[in-house]
Amino acid sequence: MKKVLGSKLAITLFCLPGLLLFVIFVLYPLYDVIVYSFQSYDGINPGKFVGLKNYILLWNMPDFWEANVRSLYLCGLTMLVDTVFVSIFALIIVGLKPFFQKAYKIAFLLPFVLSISVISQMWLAIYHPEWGILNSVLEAVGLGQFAQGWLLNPDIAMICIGFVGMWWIFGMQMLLIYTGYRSIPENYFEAAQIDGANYFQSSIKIALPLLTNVIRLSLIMTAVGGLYTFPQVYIMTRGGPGGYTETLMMYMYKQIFSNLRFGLGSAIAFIAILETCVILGTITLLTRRERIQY
Amino acid sequence: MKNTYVRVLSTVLMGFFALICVYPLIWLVLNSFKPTIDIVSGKSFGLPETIMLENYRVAIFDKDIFRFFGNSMIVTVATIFLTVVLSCMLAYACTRMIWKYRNHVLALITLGILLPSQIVIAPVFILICSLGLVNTRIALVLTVSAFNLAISTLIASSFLKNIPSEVEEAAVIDGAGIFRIFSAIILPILKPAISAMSISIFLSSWNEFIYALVLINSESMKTLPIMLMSFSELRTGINYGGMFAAMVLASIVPIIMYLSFSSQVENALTAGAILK
Repeated sequence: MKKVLGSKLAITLFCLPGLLLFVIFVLYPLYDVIVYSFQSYDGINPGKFVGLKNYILLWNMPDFWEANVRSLYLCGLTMLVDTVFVSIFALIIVGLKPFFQKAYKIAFLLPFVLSISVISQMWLAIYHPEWGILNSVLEAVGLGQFAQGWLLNPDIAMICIGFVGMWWIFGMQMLLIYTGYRSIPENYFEAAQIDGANYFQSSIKIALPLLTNVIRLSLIMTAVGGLYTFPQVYIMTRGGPGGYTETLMMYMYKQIFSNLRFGLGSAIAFIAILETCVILGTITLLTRRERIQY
Repeated sequence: MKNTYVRVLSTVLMGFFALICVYPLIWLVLNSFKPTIDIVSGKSFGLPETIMLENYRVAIFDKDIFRFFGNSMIVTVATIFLTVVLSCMLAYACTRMIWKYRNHVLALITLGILLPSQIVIAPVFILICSLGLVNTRIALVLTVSAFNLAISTLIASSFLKNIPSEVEEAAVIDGAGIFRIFSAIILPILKPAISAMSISIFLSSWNEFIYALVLINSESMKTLPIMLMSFSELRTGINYGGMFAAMVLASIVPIIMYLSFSSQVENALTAGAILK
């Protein structure tokens, strides 16, 4: 047994191809991001070490701060909508008849299986100032005064774009929390019912605490999804109007591929990694509790 | 929910939200059958007057969508194949074979699922350039595979952990070598995990946007998500009808896959997520 399963040659042959791919395309680039961030590098000529210059430059760039604030704002908003609202939705859906449970789950998840490219182009048409369906619907229900060029108004363009991403991953979060709920043994709820709890009491008192792990996972996914909003912005506005929808990733993309500032772009990437670590750490700390066995 | 009124009310309410959720997709399909002039003159609401296939003709013949469809298909199939093979082997070595650092390797791989892929776009782009792979499908296959490797390996390894070791013991006693054990015993057992992995790799590869955008810029190599942008880049009069038809064609594969294997797709998506 040990001879076959412990053969050094076999282990190397099994591990090497996968590990090599992973190291070359994931781990080593991660190290490169840190190295580049201390360099002045245009992607063509060899990079020169410049110390903290990129970071100091970013510190003094109002654009960067604004992009950062926008991304953090989207991060918070996505967590709120796609975890908090979704949890409520999921708790309601679990109580419906099985047919409706299945039908609604499919309806909510359908956008998620489509490409974000299709989704963004579609919403570009939905938000269209002249003939977009959103304006048509508002006019049809008598709210015509709210009809506008959604993506042209600097005050709301960002939230309109953010909404697209939230709508896209809504079903995925729903599925996650719904599945978590379904894995709670039925007798927990039966016990509560015998004690006289109604559906909503038992949802809040029994299901929510047991769902902590799933909700934490959902918070992490939505936080990352919001913070790294990029394709929607790229397709729908490219950061316009007047830079009002430039997210951190859009800003990074522009610095790297339009301005060929690989060093500066990598510094942005490294800051984004640090932010992600802080956010994920906070989420984990806030939702930490005793491991629940059931 | 015991109370019938509450249940009916919740059903209707959730039905309303579900409708809002799918309505944009229905709208998209309906509009793909309307002439662009109708769409942009405010008649996008409602059913098409006649079923018009002109948009599909534009998408298929003028825009040659099946070539991009083919590109997407080649990249996706190759990515699924490469990732499944490599991650099954890696998972097997890390969960079933006997060596000192196997848990360290698995922990290292876990890093890969926490990292959003766009973070390393600059170094990966430089790497692909220096390998001379810009504008090739291989570039996309390698990067997307590398980013899916982590999650697939973990799916496979969590599955392998629950298989009793007697399975291999019996094979070893019969004199089977490691490759025979892997191909004749382990791979068949892994089938459910492989289908979950394939579904999640399919979705991420078919829909890959940012790396497809950066690594491929020649027209003939583009994949569907990038090709779709060519409709809106025209400055003079966007052909919305054609664009909608192309979007429907691009989405048809994932939608059919989801509707026909909905429970498998749901399992694949949650299996991937739970491991994070």
